[in-house]
Formats: sequence, structure tokens, C-alpha cells
Amino acid sequence: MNNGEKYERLLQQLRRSEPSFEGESQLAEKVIQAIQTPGAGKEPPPYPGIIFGWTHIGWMRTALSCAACMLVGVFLFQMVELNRKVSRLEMQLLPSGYTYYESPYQPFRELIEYGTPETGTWKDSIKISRKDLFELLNSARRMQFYQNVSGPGPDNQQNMPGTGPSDVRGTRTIKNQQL
Amino acid sequence: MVDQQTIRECQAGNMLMFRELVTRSSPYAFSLAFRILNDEELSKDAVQESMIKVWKKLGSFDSRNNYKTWLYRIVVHTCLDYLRKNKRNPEMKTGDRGWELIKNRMGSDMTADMENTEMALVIQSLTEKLSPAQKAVFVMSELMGLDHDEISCILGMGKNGIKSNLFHARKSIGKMIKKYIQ
Repeated sequence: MNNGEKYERLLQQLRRSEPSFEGESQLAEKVIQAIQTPGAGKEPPPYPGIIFGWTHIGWMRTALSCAACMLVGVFLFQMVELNRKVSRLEMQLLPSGYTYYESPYQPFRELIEYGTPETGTWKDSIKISRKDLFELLNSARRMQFYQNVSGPGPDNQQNMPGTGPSDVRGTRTIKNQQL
Repeated sequence: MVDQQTIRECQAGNMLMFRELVTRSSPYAFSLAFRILNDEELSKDAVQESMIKVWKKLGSFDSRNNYKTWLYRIVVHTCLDYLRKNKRNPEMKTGDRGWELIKNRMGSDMTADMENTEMALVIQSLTEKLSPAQKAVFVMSELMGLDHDEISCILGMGKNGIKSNLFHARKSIGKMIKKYIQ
């Protein structure tokens, strides 16, 4: 018997054998139940199926979902990083907590004229730690740099926090005075 | 068979008639689904899903058209979805068991009918290397005796596509027979 004959004999047998099916009425019952209760018997589509259900290729659905998640992740990371950079820059530009000084030497002058923040009174001598002094000098230098860059225009000064009379943190604003 | 009156009643929303329609048409829907899926439970699920689709789409069906062809189209596409989903399922692989069975069958009297499990094993072994579309074309053309026009209508594929799929299916099965049955 050659291959063609074997093929034909096999097919003849398969054609002759009809799959037996029992339980038509049970199946009909299930179908009617499913129709009458919408959503019953339906499995929720898997997560990638919801977004990329239009593609029939399974691995492509998964790959597209992974790519989408990665892009969202990168976007969020960039947002957080950008926010952190902006706040760091803000801190550098306004080092003494929103207190605006008109000249770089103003902190020194305030220190001498008003004394320490605890007493608020004039004293013959004050104590300042080396660390605080360096911080003060650094702040003054950064302020000088900022003024060189932006320029102390009148609008700019008015809009800066700490310059208004109601500002609590920077209450000791002195205008038109030089050390 | 399902007559036009039954279909019109179902389109009007008669649930009793639809139950009748499901009872009458599910055996031949199962026959097709089982030959494509080669699994009894999976085929029953596919038929059930197809019948729900029938109910949903019955409104757009023209009762002058052939209901059986229309039903076959829904069943085949549901089965193709199942095949694509289960493509990597190791349970779908039969190994050499199917070929052992075919060899035994070829050696003995071939007049005895096959049971569902045997038939599933034989068809699964023969069509293991075929793509879902090739398998659907092979089953409808070679096992169920549908003509190319009908298959073209069911699958929404051109006649050349049908011929090409059938040619590749026959070639692949011929190779398998040559390999496994001396």
C-alpha cells in the first residue's frame, strides 16, 4: 500500500466516524442561562487583552503591554527627577527660607543691628559658630550671584517673598539702606 | 435542520424557539468543533460560546441565507481563537501515541467506527504540524466534505487561499504518514 492509499483509507475511516455528542438539552440550558444573566460564564479578559485586544498574536500583546508599562515608568521617573531638580534649584536660589536680602551684606548688618534671633536686642558681642558663619557667607555669595544673573529690578523685588510687610519669616526687611 | 420560521421566531426574541434551535443545531456544531479542537470539553465550551454569539448576531442574519453555513462560520472562528490560545499548551501534543493507534488501525480491519477519544488522537496526530487555518481547511474539506465555495464563505478566504492551505495540509500529512507508517 503506498502513501496515497494509506492517506485515503485513513480519511475514509475518519469521515465515516461521526463524533458522538450527548447533552444537547444541558448545553441549551447553559446557553439560555448565559443569555439571561449577562456577564455570567464570561471570563474577564486578561489585563493585556483589555488594552491590546485588537491584536490576535499573544506575544505581541504581551510585548506591547510591557513597552507601555516601561514608558509610563520612565515618564514617572522623569517627572519625579525633574521635580527634585527644580526644588533643589529653588533652595539654592532662596537659601534662607524665603528671606530676601537687598544686598549681600545685609545679613551681617542685621546681625549687628538686631542681635541674635533669640533675644532680638543689641549686645556688645555675639557668638556665631564657624559653621553658621560659613553658611552665612555662602548664602550671601549665592545671593550675589543670583542678583548678577537676574538683576534686582523693582518688579522682581516686589514679587519676591519676604519683601512684603505681612511676611512672617522675613520680617526684618530694610529698604534703601547700605551697610 | 433549522427552518426559516424557527429563525424568524428566534429573531423576534422567542426564547423557547431559541432553545429548540440550540438543541437541534448543537450536534453538527459540535461535530465541526470537535474535529478542529480534538477535545470534548473544549469543543462543548466552543459550541456554547458560539451559540451565545448566534443569539447576539441573530438580528443581523438574513433568514433566506443558509443557517448552517452561517453557524459554521461562527463555530470555526471561535475554534480558531481557542486553537491560537492553546497553541503552546503541552496537553495538546499527543506524541507518538496517536501514531501507534493509527498503525494498529491500519494493520487491522478498518470498518469499525472510532470513538471520540480515538478520533481526537488520530486527527491531532495528523494535523499537529498544521497552522490553525490549514487545519480548519483540512477538516472542512477532507473530513466533512464541504466544497470550496462553502469553505471560502465560512472562513472568509479566497478560493486560492483554500487550495493553497489544503495543498500544504495534504503535503504535511503525507510526510507524517511516510515518516511514521512504513
